[in-house]
Amino acid sequence: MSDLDRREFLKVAATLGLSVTALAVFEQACSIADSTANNVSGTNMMIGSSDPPVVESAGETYPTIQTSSITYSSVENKEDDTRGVESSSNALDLTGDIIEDPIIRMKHLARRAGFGANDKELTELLQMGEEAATEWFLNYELIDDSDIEDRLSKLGLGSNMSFEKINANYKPALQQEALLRMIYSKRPLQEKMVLFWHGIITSAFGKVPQNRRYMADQDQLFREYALSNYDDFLKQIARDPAMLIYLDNRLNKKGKPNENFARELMELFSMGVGTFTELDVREASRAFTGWGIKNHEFQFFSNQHDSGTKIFIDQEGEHDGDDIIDIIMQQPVTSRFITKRLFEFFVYDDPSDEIIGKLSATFERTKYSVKDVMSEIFQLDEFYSQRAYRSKIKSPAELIAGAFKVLEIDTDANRVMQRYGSPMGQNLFQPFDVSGFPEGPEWINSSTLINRLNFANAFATGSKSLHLNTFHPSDIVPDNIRNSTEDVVGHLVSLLLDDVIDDEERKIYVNYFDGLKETTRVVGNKQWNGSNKQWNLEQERLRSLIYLVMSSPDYQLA
Amino acid sequence: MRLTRRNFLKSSVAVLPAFATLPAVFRRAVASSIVESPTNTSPYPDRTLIIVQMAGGNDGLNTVIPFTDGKYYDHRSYLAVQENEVLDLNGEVGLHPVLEKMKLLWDEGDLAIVQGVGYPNQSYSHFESMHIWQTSDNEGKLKEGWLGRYFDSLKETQDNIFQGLATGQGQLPPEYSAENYSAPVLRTVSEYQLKGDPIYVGSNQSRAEAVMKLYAASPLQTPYGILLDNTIEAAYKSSQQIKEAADQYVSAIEYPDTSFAKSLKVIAQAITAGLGVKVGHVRIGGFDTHSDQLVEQPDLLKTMSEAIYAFLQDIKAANKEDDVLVMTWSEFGRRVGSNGSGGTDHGAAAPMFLMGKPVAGGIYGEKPDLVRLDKDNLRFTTDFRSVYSTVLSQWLGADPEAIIGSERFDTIPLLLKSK
Repeated sequence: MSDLDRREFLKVAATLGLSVTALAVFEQACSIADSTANNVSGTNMMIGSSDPPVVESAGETYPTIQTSSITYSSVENKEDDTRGVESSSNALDLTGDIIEDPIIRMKHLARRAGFGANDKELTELLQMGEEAATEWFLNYELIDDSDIEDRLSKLGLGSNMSFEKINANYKPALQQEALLRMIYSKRPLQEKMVLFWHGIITSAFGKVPQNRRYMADQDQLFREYALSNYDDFLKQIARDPAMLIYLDNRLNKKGKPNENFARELMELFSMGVGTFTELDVREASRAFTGWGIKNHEFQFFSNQHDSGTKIFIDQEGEHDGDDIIDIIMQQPVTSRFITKRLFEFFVYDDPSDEIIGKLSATFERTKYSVKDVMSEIFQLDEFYSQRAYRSKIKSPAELIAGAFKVLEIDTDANRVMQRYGSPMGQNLFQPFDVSGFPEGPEWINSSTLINRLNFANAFATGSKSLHLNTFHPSDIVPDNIRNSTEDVVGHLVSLLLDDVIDDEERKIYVNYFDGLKETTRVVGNKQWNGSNKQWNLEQERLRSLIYLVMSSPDYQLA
Repeated sequence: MRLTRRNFLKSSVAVLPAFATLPAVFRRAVASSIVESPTNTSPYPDRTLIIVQMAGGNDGLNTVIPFTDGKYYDHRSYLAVQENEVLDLNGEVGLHPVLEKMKLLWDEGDLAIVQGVGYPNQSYSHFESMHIWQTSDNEGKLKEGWLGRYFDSLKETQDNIFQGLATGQGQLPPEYSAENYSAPVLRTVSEYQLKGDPIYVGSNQSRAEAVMKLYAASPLQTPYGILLDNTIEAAYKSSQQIKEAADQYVSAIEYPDTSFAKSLKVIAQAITAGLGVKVGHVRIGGFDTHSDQLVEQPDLLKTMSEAIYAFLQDIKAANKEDDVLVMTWSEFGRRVGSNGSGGTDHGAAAPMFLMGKPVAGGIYGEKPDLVRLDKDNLRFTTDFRSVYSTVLSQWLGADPEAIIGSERFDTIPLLLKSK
């Protein structure tokens, strides 16, 4: 079953490159290119389309577990099997819209709901079955996650962080802590949500004092309210000292309002641009006057609060900040804005109105439960659609955390985000501006791509700067398959790319790996600085292949 | 359907023979003989436009100060710059006292100021307003940047990776967003270098080639394939060239020790090395002064003007001063009155600066009215697209109507007649 599905799945548009009927393909390609040139969306993947037979999937390494709980939502796609080889011009004319292979589905889920899964985790998830695995991601409060706290504690991080450390290098320490949580937490969805909220409801060290726990406390707030009801969450955000500083609300006083927080609350955190008036901004600002900080904690200063009547989105009253949030939550635009942000982060860009309508209805029916919306998202066919698969650019945090996690590397992650995340465009706790982190093509430009490749290089060559305590290529590629290039390539491609690549790409990997044999005599520099590791061509070839897979365009996608 | 060389490459690459040299170069050579390209060529191939983005919304009223207007002092009270401190330009307006270097440019006739620049139905959102400036479309429909559309219109774009260069920043400036071109973006030259395998040195050449082949082979499978492939080519080529430019660069001009100045220096290096930079882009952020404005804004203005001055000196030393024009912009100005917490909230119209030998120094556009406000905000007097039209037509030699869109905007005579 699983093998068959995999093969089915592998019938990628390898034909594209090889086909002599390139013209037809070209036309398809151009129409795709036109629609995707900039803000890429609406493009379907070609995986799963039924085309000419493809070489045997090499290097099958996954346990083939029968996952009886998985329901196949599009069994009728089987009829596509009858489509002929000659129809290569239809390579882009998508047929099976839903990914069927349970392993690929699970790896997709693990990547989106978390930071990927290593072999052991994947086996466990597959044993659970998709439904239970989804519940496992969502109901993380049932999972004992004390290991990560122990790990952090031993490094002087987490709640144990000393004031000396906070004073000396708080941002790198907090980045280190965040990365360790992404890699090792047993509650991957919670950490994914924290990253999501940090990218939207953002604050930054640039403006928030470094010698206090403000940013760490905000990070904890995201963790605590990761899947909560959104109105409760926003009311906590409005009281969060880091936010009160970052968007100036602590300076917002009766008679001299400061609009910064009120505007971004509506524009970035709830309703979206263009859905409110300048009058709304001014009235909402009045409602939040007197919300400030005392002794590093939230304090309501009643003498600085404007308790007069305000008219906010046509509702008149002596509103305070909580009233404003309640009114904001009543607006249908808010439901649509938040559910769209969630869907686009976890599934794909530019979803249809129907999907957002459906999610918004759930959001409203459940009194703004983010958890219920997430649960629904993970059960949507769209989540497992070809359009969703590899439709997101991995953020630098996902790329870095995923590498450590999937290859099961032990690290203390010291300064890894600082050294590698920032040049890729993600400086955690210091986003570019108040709009937080981007989610799409903005992650890719010549500079960030160079630094993605340099990360792969540091990783594969075991750079000390990455603190790879346990990285040995021989642990990653088992002995018994090393005599076969196809198997070695198949293994790495399965591990890192779900075994979803086309023939042309597979050939490039195979030829590269084989070619390295022949370069034995021209290999220079046999001594590795300060290391007692022996020069070992086999190890170096494996390292080099790992680099190539991690540098590939496919690996940049989530 | 639009046939572009890029798109063609994606589908045809596999029928090409194995790559003999750096694949990118090879593919370009093959492709250029097959596919139609835009036919426009730049009439002024040596000219460069430098865009300076003042991100966050610069307070124009405290930058070009109407110090003879009592209303300014009424509105601004404690935030106002005192008359005796202002660097007088024409007896009516003057520069903030930290802008000494800009005053030097003014005295040389190398500074043009356009007053009251904005657009109809001002957006007070940073992101929406930036988007409007970046796409030159105030209806928010266009996705490519105005300079991206300029690059797309040029024949030579696909052959010259450095047409657009952005430095000191990790993100592609949205102005550069183009259909067929991925401009190099870099924070520093050293960070912008592809690292080789330090152990298995003998693998590096074939490794680089294999990477290029993977990017060329995979694109159509994924929505971002074309972006990734365009970008890897830009990365490989430009990282080598920019390094060479930096290594060869010799200059007696000392730049201020700020990251903003360093990013301008990289552009100067690229220009003097003859890499063919048509547009350079640098960004200085932090102008969103809702609080602490009296400290923060002068710091930023000083950093900006000192760096630009050093840059122009450097350009002059390289005998390129007739070919380089600098233009600033910010998404909006700020509220006329202060907000009571030492700052100003989001506002509307603000001045733009154009600097360098090519400008006809002076003040252009009408001074915004401090009496007839639009809900506490200035009313704009010059549409920013007039300034864009001016630099597009008179500096870059492009057709502004084709690039900005259907509407036609008057140009402003702020450049010297070209030689």
